[in-house]
Amino acid sequence: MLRKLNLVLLVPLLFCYLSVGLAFAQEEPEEQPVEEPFTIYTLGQQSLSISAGMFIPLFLQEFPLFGGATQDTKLKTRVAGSLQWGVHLSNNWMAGLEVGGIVTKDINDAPYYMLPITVKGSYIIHFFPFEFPIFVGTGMNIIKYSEDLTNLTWIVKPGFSSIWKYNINWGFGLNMVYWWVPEFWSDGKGRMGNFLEVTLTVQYNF
Amino acid sequence: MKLAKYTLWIIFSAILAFYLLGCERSPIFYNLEGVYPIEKDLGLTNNIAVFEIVGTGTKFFAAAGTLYARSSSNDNWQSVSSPVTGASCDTIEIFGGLLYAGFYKKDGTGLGLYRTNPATIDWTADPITAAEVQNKQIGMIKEVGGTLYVTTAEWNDTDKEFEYFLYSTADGDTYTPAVFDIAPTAPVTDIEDYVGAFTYWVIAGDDLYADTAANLNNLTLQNPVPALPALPVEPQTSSSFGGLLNSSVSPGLYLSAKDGRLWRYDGSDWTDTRTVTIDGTGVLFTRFIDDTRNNVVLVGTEGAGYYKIAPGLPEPLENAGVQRLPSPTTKGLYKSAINSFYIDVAPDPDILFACTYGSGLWREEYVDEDSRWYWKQE
Repeated sequence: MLRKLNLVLLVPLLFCYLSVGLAFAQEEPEEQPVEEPFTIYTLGQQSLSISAGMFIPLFLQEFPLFGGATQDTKLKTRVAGSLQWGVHLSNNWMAGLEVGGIVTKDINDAPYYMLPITVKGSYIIHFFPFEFPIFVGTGMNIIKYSEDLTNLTWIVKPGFSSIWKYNINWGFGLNMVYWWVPEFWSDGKGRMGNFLEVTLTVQYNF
Repeated sequence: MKLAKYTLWIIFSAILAFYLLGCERSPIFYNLEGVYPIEKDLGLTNNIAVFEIVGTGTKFFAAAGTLYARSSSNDNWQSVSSPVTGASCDTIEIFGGLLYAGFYKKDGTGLGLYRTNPATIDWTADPITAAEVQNKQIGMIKEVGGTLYVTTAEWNDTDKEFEYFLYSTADGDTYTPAVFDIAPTAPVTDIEDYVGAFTYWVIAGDDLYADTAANLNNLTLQNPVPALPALPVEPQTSSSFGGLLNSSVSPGLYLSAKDGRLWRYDGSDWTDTRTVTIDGTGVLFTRFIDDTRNNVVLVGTEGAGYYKIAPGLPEPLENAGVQRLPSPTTKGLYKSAINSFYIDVAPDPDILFACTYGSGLWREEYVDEDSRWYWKQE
């Protein structure tokens, strides 16, 4: 049921994003191309992004990484958001910091939150007027569940974005980020949380 | 400057390592795996106070202001007619195959003790005529060792205070008053038998009494006693006794208190836990039950679910063997006040009930396919 709901929400989101991107791309006057489209960024340029969208719980997995049994997360699809600051190291590479958050509930409506704080490295593929950053972030993740359980875990967030550059400063896009959250524990109680973030993003470069 | 930077990194790394190792915390994803939908399926309002539940083998009765009944085959709960229109009921017991219940009016006036055949429910067929329990405020009804004990509270207009009485009956018709060496200043809330220097133990507020005879004709105050120098002496609601249990799964007489302490009596000596606390405050322990399927003792609390006491603990009892349950994922029960438990050993597997104040009635059942127990709200 949740997977169906996710699909129903994802498809229109992707469709809207691509439609808008292509429509604006077609309307871009040919006589006003961005100068040097393939060297947009130089060392020291900065970028701020804000993202908001869906948090999709996928599954929990027992250790080891390969072959561990999987279980339903018992969490509902809800909202995710993040703020990111980055500094360009070259036209293609960017390093940054990201603070994110998700809010959801379990199947009995007990609240569940995650707040990851990560450092992030991105490689940006340019395909004017689009950019496709491929990135991975890692850091700490604060999890709060129900009213009484709080833990700090490690998190790894690989993903990619598709950004349509409205102009040299502004970009709009879509993020697809996989959240891998290992919770190490003794007595066979360790599990790996696997989640998906699908968010729309607004990016400002300066 | 460099030193400060390195120090900060070391501190940060140490904190991170501590959390990543998860030393003193509960694994959240593991807890999530154990979450089951809490079904609210048997028609009992979920936010009511349920004080007691008893079973006859084929029927359950629940005292929750209104008296409810349902069959043991999981039919919906139905209200049971009371002997007086609009009367409420907070205490019940099965004795001699009959259902005994204490009723009171909405304004608090006691209506006394009634009994009926639980199959037919006719409060007038076999009335109790003893003056001791007629038109009285009934506090507790409990069968111990073939004797029924009933407590009453009566307003003394001269002294402007309540007087508390405890009666015993072997036949349900004749009620014999217990004789206290020092009159209790709080209602008797529990009684239990256990063979030792004394046979019968009674708690009333922060007082512990004991007697050797079932008719309780010489109840003597036991606290403070030399073996229990730390027992509370002054009456304080936060430090009154909560419950008594003669445990069969972990032989001994258990005693709880509302200041985070648990005691165990082996017939000659008492031992106690260190204070069990949550955020520095003593847990308010209430009544016990023998969990016969897991061979542990359970004790309810006011506001913190319940605790499991490991069986056969060495003495003194250690906090390590006292574990809070259920999982926080059992929303509604985890932070509830548990008035009492009831275990029905007739079905296979057993069913454990928890009566809560404000969170309804819960039952714990076994899910064969998952090989685990979990709670449902009735």
